[in-house]
Amino acid sequence: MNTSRTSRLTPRFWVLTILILGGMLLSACTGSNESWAGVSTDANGETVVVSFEKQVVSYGVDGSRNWTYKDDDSKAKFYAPSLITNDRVYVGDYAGRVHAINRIDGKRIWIYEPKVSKVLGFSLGANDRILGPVAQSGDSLFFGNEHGIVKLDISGEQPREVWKFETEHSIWAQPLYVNDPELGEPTLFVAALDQYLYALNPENGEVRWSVDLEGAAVSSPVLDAANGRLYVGTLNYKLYAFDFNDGAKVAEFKTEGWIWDTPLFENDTLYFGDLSGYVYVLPITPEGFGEVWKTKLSDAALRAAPVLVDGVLVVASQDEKVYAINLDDKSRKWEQSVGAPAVAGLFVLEGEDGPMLVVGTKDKENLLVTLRLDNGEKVWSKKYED
Amino acid sequence: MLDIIINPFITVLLVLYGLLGRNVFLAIVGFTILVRFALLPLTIKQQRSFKRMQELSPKLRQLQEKYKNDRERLTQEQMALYREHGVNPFAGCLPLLIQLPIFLSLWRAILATLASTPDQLLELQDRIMIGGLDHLVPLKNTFLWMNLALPDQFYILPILVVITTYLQQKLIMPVTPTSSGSGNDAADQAARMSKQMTTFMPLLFGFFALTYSSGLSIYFITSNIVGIIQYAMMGKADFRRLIGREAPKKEEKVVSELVADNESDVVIEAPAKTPAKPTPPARQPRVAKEPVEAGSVVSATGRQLKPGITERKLTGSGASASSGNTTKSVSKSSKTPPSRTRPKK
Repeated sequence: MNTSRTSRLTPRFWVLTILILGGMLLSACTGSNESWAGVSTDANGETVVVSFEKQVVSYGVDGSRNWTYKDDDSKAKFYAPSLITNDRVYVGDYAGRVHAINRIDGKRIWIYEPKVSKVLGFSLGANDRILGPVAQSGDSLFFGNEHGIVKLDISGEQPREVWKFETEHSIWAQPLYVNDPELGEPTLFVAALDQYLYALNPENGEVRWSVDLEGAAVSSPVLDAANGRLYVGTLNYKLYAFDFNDGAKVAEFKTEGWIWDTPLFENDTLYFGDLSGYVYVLPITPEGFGEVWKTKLSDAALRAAPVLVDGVLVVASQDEKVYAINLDDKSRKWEQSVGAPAVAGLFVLEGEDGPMLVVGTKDKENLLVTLRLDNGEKVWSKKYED
Repeated sequence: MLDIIINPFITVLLVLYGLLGRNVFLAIVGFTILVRFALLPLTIKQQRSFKRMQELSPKLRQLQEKYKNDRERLTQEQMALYREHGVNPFAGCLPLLIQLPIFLSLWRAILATLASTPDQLLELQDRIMIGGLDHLVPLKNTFLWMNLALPDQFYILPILVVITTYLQQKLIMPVTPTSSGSGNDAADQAARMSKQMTTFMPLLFGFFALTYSSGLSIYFITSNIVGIIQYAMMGKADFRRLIGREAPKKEEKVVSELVADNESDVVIEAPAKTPAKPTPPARQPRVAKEPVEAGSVVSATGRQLKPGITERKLTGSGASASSGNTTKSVSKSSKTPPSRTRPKK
């Protein structure tokens, strides 16, 4: 009896057991999630598109699935939010490629693959992930990756790279293309993790001006055309206002936490949250910023920008809750748990019974949750189905 | 739970990054060296404990052979042996257990500070314990051809990880003698296990280097090199093993010295690989005059001691003995009184 037990517990058994347990422990320690769902809606609020892991899925307002897009050849991972146009959906992947998908049927139109130099058969510049959304202007697409920003010409059957602008760190933000004759020449604004805000000539990628943000910027700036300003939040507890034309600093505002997402700009007021759980309502003045109203909603991060509908400000938190605040009296209208960290974004869809909130999370079981705007009740939710 | 360690590590890593010209490579190397040297006392303690256990291994094998059918008695005798030599069999594990969360935290701190994924960057704000470091986040992740937040596409770092892990394993893995056909399965298994660990560990860490950030590979490589240097400075690294040579029969010598120094009553019979050498007069043991029971222990005066401890044959050069036969000989000079103190270092 002893012999048989000894024969089972061979050195190979112990070595493999130790290695497997060690591997599991180390894997557990590195965390399994890479990112949250990339969620976006179309301009009319009729479609929501979710990028997560190996697929991109389009849903209608009633929660019906329109199509699922996968790239089985490359097993690419998708976390970047999509850009939804009239007829196409553009989305970047973790292999540095951009996919153009038919918006109606989800069929592939083309894939842009970056040209990769090779040395001794090894690829240079591989793993050039795209984490942020693509921006479009006419026949041009702009997107950031691990090395900078790229412009594509999409007028032909296949996309063509026009220029590349290299930065010292990744770009996770969506580029902001501004073409307003009253403001000046068309300009592409890019906020980067290398702590700079760049104003580029979209024709050739040359720098018009750049400004040191003294902190990384993860989201794109927001344009205040009336005042000729750009507002951008950073991971250094600051929100800046810059002059559109030369990047001169107009004002800065100190926050309680890092600012991740692009602030919402409406009615000369900025609405944003920070990673310390504060939400801010910051008016704009000719000199810079006015008197702020802020409140701590949660101990967890408010990563995504809030939405404002009919005087109700809605904020999603990493504490798995969504909060609605009446801006009139700053009272809390409702709060609702969505069963997962609500970090992927907040959007408004036009539901059958009026406006409906779409909340993106990073939990496969509750990847997408929709709530009624008036009382926060759940309408439908979607989980990740491979 | 590990956040108690991880968060200070992240903070120190950021401070180093700022001090070292925002060079993430230097920051990781410097930080790994700091942590390894901070853990040096534990490493030394662990090595000493392993050495003591290794020195006792011939005796343990004897006990295993003798009481292979009586596990309870075997456990009792083993514990008695440990007590007699002042060895705590778990003392070697304690430093290892303390080091494990520290190395895991170091690993996680590097990953978190590089913030290669949005998830990691999102958590970073609450992990920084000193104000004024936020402007350093996230670390500039390019160095030479590498993006340190991503695996090395040239496979140079994973290969270096495999090589340095193998070298470290090969140099510091304690020599585990086999039973040389005496039927001692435990010894054979331990030897095979050591060999397989030397093979599998580099492959496992190579796999991690292929899968995770290059920054981790730099940590592995630095840690391995510092480990080799530390062991070399402690005189524990045996570079002859790299060319397939073993050190001289140091173990046997150590055992005999240990026993002689300790003036133990225990009589040892070690499996022999070489014939016994003539014993120098000064160290020649006195032979017991009266016959004793097989397996009993005799003191220098020939008195019978606790049963269950095998006999020892001492030679001038070491404790080599004939295999299988019991040779009755006393364990020490009669001029020296019996002692049960810890072995001298």
